[in-house]
Amino acid sequence: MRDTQVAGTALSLRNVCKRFGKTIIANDLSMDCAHGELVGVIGPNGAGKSTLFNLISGDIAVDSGEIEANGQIVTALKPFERNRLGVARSYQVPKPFGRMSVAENLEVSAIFGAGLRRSDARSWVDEVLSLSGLQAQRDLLAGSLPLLVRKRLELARAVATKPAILLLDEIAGGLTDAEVDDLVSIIRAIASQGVTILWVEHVLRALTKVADRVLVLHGGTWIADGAPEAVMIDPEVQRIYFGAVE
Amino acid sequence: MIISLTNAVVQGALLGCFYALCAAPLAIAFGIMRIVNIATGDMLVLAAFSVLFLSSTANIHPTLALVGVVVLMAALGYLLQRGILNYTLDPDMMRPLLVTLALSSILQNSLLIVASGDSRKVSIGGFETMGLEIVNGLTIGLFPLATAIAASLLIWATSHLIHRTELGIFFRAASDDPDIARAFGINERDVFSKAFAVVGVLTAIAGAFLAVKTQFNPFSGNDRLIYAFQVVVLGGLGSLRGVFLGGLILGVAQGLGAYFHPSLQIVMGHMVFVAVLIFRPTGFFGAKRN
Amino acid sequence: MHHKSFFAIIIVSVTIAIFAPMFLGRGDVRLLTEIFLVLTLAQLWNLLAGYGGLVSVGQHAFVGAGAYAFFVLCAQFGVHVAPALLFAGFVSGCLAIGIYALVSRLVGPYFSIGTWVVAEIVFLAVLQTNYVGGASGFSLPLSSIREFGAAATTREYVIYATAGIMCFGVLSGNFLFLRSRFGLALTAIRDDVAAAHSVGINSDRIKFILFTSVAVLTGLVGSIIFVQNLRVSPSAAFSMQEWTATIILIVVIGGIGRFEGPLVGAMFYFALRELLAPFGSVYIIVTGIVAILIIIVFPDGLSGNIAAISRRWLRAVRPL
Repeated sequence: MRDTQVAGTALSLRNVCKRFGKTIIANDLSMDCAHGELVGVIGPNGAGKSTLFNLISGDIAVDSGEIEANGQIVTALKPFERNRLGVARSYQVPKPFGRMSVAENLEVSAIFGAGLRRSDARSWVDEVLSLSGLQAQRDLLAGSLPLLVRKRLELARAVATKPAILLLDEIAGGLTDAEVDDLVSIIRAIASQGVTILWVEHVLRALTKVADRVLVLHGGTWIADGAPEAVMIDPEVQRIYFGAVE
Repeated sequence: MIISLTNAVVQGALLGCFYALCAAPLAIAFGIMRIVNIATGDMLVLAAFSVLFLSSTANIHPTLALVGVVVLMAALGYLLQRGILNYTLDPDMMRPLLVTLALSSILQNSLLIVASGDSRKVSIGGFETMGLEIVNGLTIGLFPLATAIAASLLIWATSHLIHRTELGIFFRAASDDPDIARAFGINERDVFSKAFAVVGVLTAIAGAFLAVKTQFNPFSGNDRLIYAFQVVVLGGLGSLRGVFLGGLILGVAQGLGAYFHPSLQIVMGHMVFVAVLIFRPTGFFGAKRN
Repeated sequence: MHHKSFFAIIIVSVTIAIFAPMFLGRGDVRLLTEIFLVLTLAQLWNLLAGYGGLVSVGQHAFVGAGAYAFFVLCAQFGVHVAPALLFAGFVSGCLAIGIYALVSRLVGPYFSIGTWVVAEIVFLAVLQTNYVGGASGFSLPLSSIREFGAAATTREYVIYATAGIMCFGVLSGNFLFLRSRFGLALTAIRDDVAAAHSVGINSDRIKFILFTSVAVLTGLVGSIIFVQNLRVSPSAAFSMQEWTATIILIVVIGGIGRFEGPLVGAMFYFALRELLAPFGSVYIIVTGIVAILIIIVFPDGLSGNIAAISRRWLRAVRPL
């Protein structure tokens, strides 16, 4: 756990608490991400990783605590306001705008999220399409896409809002090795533009390749925080996350 | 002054029981089938007309006619769900709403053709005008009292049916999660059809009281729906004891309105409704369902 | 449909509409005026409910408010009919802001009935206001009627033209709106509201703007409807059956949430009504039954399913 405040943090959680009835999702949770950092978040199933993202994106309100993103306190802001301040996310279960084409999905995000004019949005959409490898699907209806392409669209749509902080929720599931490599290179390209990335992933192979740092969430607190190699051999993490189930 | 104010509250509360009775079909259709039945009021009016026609053509007492109308409305409710509404079940609830909107137009205009636009009333041989004088200035009408007792009994019985019987468990299971209910061998379409038969029974009885209580014509259903809706919102969307409370609030508000000036009766009810919308949009029993 | 082909059709239709009265009787012109107005209301409701997901069943509040605002301005304040028409839209919009503040707290179907209840409250308020004639309403003064034209035929043509401008204006505006950034946002909200929020779309604001602008135009239509009648009364101006239920049935039959839905639905409705004219209100019952059948069998409405069926048929005839 970090006690010192990192200068120029992109995202800070300070003493965030959230519980659903008896289930504790976040128990006095704090963290800081530096600008441009790529942070992996792992934890056993049901540890509340997606809920953590919902708290940061504003889909769910915190019980107490404070969230600062891109230099602003966003705790009380609505999801669309947070997005306009630079927080973008993908959903674990893709939520495409099914009646719109892939390009329109990105266009509407570029206009409302990134605040672009329509003419500027078009060229930005082309850029995002080629970055995410979705050119071939650009005119297809999003509702007709297979699951893996939908996940790719989730990523592209979040990127289209020109985020400072990108929250990725399990976008590598179901991919082949070659596709994972492909995805990793896309994410490297996004990170290289200075975007801070928080990535929840079960495919650890993908995470350890790119993450600067890995956080392990369990029982509402961080049980490990450090370089990927160090975290993976941490005995506590081994026990809880990989350990034999008694 | 105290007595006349008490009188206003008491008469309002009795009226409120009648409103609760009329709102129960709306609340149950929503609570179980998630159907907002826009034709609720028109079905009440249909029941009222049926009581009128059955008693006058067969030359029997309206109470006896009610038995027939209960069977008729239960069958109608069952068929409506089975033949039409079961095909419109979807999560966004818009299709059943539009179907019942169309049904409302159909009922109103069919009644207009069959019964003409004249206002009618059903007489039950003077009982509706009898009263029980408690003190000077405070008289309780026997018919409003009977209405209140019937409303309490029916709402209690329906609540018992839903919460304490096997059929009620099926209702709630099919309502909460049709998929899981199906896994346990409960066919939600079948269950919903039975539930709408229950709605039909309540509609028939409430319609019979309506027929005696006030004048009605083929287009009276609109007002009935509006009061029923206000009751359900005041009580918090779909809970039965909320319906009773919502009815009382609306009735007492109208009673007090009428106390200040006769023309204020309806206005006061609406004002309370709007105030609740502003300050407590989930109603008084809103947070919890069932 | 592309911009060019759409506006080509509009231009042809407008040209036909301009010259049509020369070849039609007065009764036909009046019927066409009515069709224009009903079609406009249907388009507006389709935009609101089909695209915006705001399934209001209280649009008669705005028809009535527009009509009354117009009549009051002309009769009590002697305002010229042209600015009075515009102001009627404004009044209706103001009413919409108040109504939306109330009903936007209700979700789903309760929003729907909420709009109705509030509309009835507005109706009741007008009914009890002696200033506007209470239950019997009042007539448009002769001086105002003359402002539409001295002769009856000129007047009818002017009203016909106003209704036509409304109808084709809303049709074109609708077409452009759905292709604008707001149209995109509306589709996004309809497809997935949470995802729409996550890409910076403020759904509350967009729905509010939609509700209010539809109300402004609905109010305008309301005032034109009652100019044609020359007299306004609460039960006619705030008729749920005529200005809301019928309109909704038309859109449902034509295809809810489809651009051409209101047009197809209105054609069907008026054809049915003229056909069944000798049988009183039977046409409403038939319309209702057809609407229920459509909801169950063809959820995309006549326009959607005719399009799908004809596509399938074309494929069968000319396999590619």
